[in-house]
Amino acid sequence: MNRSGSDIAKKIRTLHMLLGGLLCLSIVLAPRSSLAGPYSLSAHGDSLAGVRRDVDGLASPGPYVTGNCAHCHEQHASMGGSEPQPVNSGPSPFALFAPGFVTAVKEKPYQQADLFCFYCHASPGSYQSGLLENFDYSHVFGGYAGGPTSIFEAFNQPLGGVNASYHNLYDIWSYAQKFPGFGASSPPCDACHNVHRARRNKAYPQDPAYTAISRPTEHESLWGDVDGERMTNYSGAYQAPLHFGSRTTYEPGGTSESVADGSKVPDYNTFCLDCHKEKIYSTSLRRDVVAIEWKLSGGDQLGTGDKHGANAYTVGIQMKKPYDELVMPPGGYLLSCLDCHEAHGSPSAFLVRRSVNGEILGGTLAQARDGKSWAYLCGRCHQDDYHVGGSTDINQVNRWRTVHHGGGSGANVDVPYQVQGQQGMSCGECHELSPGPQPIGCGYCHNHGSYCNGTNPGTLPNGKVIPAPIDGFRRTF
Amino acid sequence: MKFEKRCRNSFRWWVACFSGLVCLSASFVAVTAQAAVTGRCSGCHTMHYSQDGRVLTEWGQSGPYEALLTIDCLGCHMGTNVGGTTPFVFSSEAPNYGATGTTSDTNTLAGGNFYWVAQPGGDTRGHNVAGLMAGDGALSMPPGFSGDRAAADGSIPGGGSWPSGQQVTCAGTYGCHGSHAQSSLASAVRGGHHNGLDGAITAPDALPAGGFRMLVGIAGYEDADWEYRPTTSTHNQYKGVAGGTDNSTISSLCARCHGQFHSASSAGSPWLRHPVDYDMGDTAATSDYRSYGGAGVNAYRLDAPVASVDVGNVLTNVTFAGDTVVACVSCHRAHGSPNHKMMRWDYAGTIGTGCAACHTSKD
Repeated sequence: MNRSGSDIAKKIRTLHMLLGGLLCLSIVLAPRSSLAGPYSLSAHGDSLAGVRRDVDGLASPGPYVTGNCAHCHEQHASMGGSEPQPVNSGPSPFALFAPGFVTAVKEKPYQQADLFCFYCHASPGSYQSGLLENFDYSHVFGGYAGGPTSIFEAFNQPLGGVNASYHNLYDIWSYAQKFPGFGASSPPCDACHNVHRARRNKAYPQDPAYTAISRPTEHESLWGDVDGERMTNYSGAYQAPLHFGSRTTYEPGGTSESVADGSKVPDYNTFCLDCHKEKIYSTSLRRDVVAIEWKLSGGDQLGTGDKHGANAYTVGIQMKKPYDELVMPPGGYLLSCLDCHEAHGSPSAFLVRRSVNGEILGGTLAQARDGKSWAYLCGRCHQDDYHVGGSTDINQVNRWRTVHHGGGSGANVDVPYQVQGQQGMSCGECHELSPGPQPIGCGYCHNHGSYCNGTNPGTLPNGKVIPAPIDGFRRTF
Repeated sequence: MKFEKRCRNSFRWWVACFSGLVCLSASFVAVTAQAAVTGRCSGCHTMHYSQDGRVLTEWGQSGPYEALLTIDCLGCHMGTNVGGTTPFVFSSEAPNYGATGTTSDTNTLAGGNFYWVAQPGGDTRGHNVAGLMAGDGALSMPPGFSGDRAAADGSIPGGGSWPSGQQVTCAGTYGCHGSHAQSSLASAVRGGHHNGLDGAITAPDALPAGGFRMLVGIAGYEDADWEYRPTTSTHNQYKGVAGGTDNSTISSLCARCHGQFHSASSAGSPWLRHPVDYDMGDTAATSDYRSYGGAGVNAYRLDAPVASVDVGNVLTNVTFAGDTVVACVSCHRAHGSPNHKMMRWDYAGTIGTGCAACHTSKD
């Protein structure tokens, strides 16, 4: 009986092995259908909305279905024995139909041929069949209509605007050389996007599973598509800003309050800091862009982080909805980079968005540090004199005396110079006095990494010296 | 008596030995000379292109033919494959190709079939061979022709230049098989049918008979039935060597006409064209290419075959040590396929099918 049972068991094992082998063999031999993995799930590999270089009079590689590799890659650097448009005298890296990036172009205005991606991501003149539109973050996720209709336009907007800014492509390309997988022939877009994985977030703004970004340091996977890669990483410190024109819905895409906790937003901070944790030279600005310390707390001491990041306000500040809660997160709120900035380009300086926290900017934010244009951004979340005092005087709009010198509600106790003259100084020592005390340009004190202690920011161009604030030092951003 | 008995025993011993040798030699011949045509001479030749004062109906009617043949290439190689001893490369009815031409219900061979390119609008589905179908409506010469790549016998297709409108031929000056030094197709493959080898051809000489499939100077392991319904243990083993300078690889054959596509000689990162004669074993150990044939399994894929330096045996699995060399035939069928650009699979009609055999992270 034992031997018989053993024999049966052996036969069953043998049968299992045979079946297993057959299964493996069938998998190996089975005809393969279209991809089921990352590429077919990506925006470019989408069978309906993916790449399709097929425009009369411009270019067509042949009878390839939407999403097919041939719309970007020409395996033999030609199609049907000749090079289709754009004819550029030879093969291109990665077997693309045009060079990835013309590195001789250091600044805008960009031409469509300067960057491979622009061949399709331009409007008009796109090589992509049908209408391809890509709006900016303010539009897609913030809900503010208008703005550039293509990425090409976003980088170039507006050509006549002196304050318009863009993510300098040459600087990205140059800096990204340090990242694995990025090389001299890589289009700069590859630093932030894995073109074979990036998904159509524009079609699903409320669902970060459709994220289009990949970290430069983790380029083989998407970023933000799974838990642990979202703004909920910050222990409840993140509060999504309002959706444009609404008091009850939030970014991204008008989500409800219950999910305005960052669970729908990729952790853009970690993403951006892959590069911006270091000082980077800006060809456009002719200066270094400061290294950003967003994840350190530590209070007002020098060497701590930005207060808009993990660092906290000093004592108390007066904010607009939704940051006006009586009980704020321990350590205050932490913002996402894209709460204020665009990724590609902006009509304002420093890639500042067209709309922030549900409101349009009061005007174009200028690059110059003087003046009050920077407050067009601040005023989207912080209360100016008009709001803090419940004023009906329109002249109090974008006026910031209270936040700097006190007055109004006693809750606004973070003021650096609480009562005029209290520090033994007169108005004229800091302010131009004609025709009356004039505001000091926001940009002198408030920018990433800024710190005020009597030495910093020091003497202004007009000869006025910014004194040390109450308690002697203050992180001012 | 004793002597007689000894003689009888000795005779039996010799008979036994002789019989053994006969069997051994027979099996040896069967293995090593299977590709050579066998049978009576009259099966292929006629002395006067006449039998009993007439041309036989089974002969070609446009003779007389070179080398006293009764018919041209097509006469023997047109038909439907059933696994016999003659490879049919051109069928009058649509062959069964399935998705990749490799499954057990198919009836095409390793090179595919010229059937599809002969169909209306089929120019992109194979080589437009002279005598089989009209010339390509779009291509007046081989795309990527460089005219500077010679076969082992020193011959170059077209002598280095390709006249506009000249169609490719089965063999000869403008052909793939045999020597390009011969304008006569029969002369080009001379000796190939009589002395053709089989199995492993690791050191091809400069004669048609000494090369893989009568391709002069090309090495490879010839599958006995030309990959009729191949399996992972019965298939051609193509020669491939990283670097692009070895002229015995299967891709170097293609490069004789499509030299500008053979970009391995200008290898580097990034590629300007899809590489051939490039070993995926030269990629990082963590790269997605190392999952060819399944991660950790690395089975040889019949639908996307890779070439190897050693063609002494047929591989069922690959090791990324000189046996995962990308070749032209990794993607294309040399004769033709039902797919655009004579691809092994329906590349144009799908998203990434076939590509993911190597570019595994895309799937």
